[in-house]
Amino acid sequence: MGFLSLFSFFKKQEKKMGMLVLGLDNAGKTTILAQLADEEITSVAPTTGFNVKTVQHAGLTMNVWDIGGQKAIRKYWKRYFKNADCIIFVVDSTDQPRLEEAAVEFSQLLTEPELKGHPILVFANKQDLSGASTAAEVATALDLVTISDRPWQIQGCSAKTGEGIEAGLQWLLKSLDLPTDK
Amino acid sequence: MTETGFKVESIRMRDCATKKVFFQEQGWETIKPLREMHLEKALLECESVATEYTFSVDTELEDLKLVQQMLMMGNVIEEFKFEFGFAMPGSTNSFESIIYSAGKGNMYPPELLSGNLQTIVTFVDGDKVVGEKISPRRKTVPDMQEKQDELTK
Ligand SMILES: Nc1nc2c(ncn2[C@@H]2O[C@H](COP(=O)(O)OP(=O)(O)OP(=O)(O)O)[C@@H](O)[C@H]2O)c(=O)[nH]1
Ligand SMILES: [Mg+2]
Repeated sequence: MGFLSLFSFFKKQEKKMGMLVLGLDNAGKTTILAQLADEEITSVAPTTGFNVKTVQHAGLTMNVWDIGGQKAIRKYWKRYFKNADCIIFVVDSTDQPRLEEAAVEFSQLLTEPELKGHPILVFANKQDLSGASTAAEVATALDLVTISDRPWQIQGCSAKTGEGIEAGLQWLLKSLDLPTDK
Repeated sequence: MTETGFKVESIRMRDCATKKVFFQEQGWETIKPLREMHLEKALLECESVATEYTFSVDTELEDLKLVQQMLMMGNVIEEFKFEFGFAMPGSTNSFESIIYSAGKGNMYPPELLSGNLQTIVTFVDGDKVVGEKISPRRKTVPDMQEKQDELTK
């Protein structure tokens, strides 16, 4: 007789869903990752590489990849595209001076062949702060209405309070139309 | 540090339900078996445990993987692999995975596990080991050996 199983390392799924979290430095990507993993938010330092977590949600196991957004390392984003089934793009809604820069990076992602057709969720983050642009304003800055080759969604949120995160994730999971194992 | 400058900065294990940290260790000298990685009885009774590794890389790595093996009295009972692929030069990265308990009745009794479990964690770039940690196994208690024989009959 064989050994009894000690732990089941993840429910042994064929392939786990991959989410790639991108955006400018200081946008709040690592804080969002902590929210998704239901982790206590402690102080975060700028990311110089990646943080990946397996997150369980609604009977699904996902690998969520948070990649550093500093300008010098954005050239490495593409090395992680193969892990992605969908994209979460995070914008600091209080950083109006860099909305344009965020829009440039965003439109670049839309042209990437490896990300073709991947659903894209935009988090207009830091809505808890006064002076934050609204989700609609961020949508306009990123010219979201012109996207016709994939599902997209804009969601206002606060990675600090957790507000809006769940709603965004729900949309993303729905847009992926995955069979759940529940 | 190896010649690639790979270094495990810390390891942390926490109970997902209570968020309590069971185990935390800073600085792991690579390629050297170190102190024992305690798997507390309480931890084994958790429904899900999250383990986070933080590691830094000097020179970029093309094909980084983590292999985690659990050994029970010297036999590999579980193996888990995770592929990172590319790691940026001069980066600090982290990986957290969640282990779900197989559920009561499907698990070894914690009192049997405690002291007989060994964990081997290896970081590999391509087919080259860049970091490895083997926790030493404590002596098997004789009456536990009997219990083990009973279980595997
Ligand atoms: N008030 C407020 N602060 C936030 C929010 N989200 C993130 N922050 C703060 O913004 C700063 C940057 O957050 P990070 O999560 O590190 O940002 P990041 O996108 O990971 O940045 P890089 O790793 O440099 O790419 C931190 O000080 C966070 O505490 C939010 O929703 N509200
Ligand atoms: Mg970060």
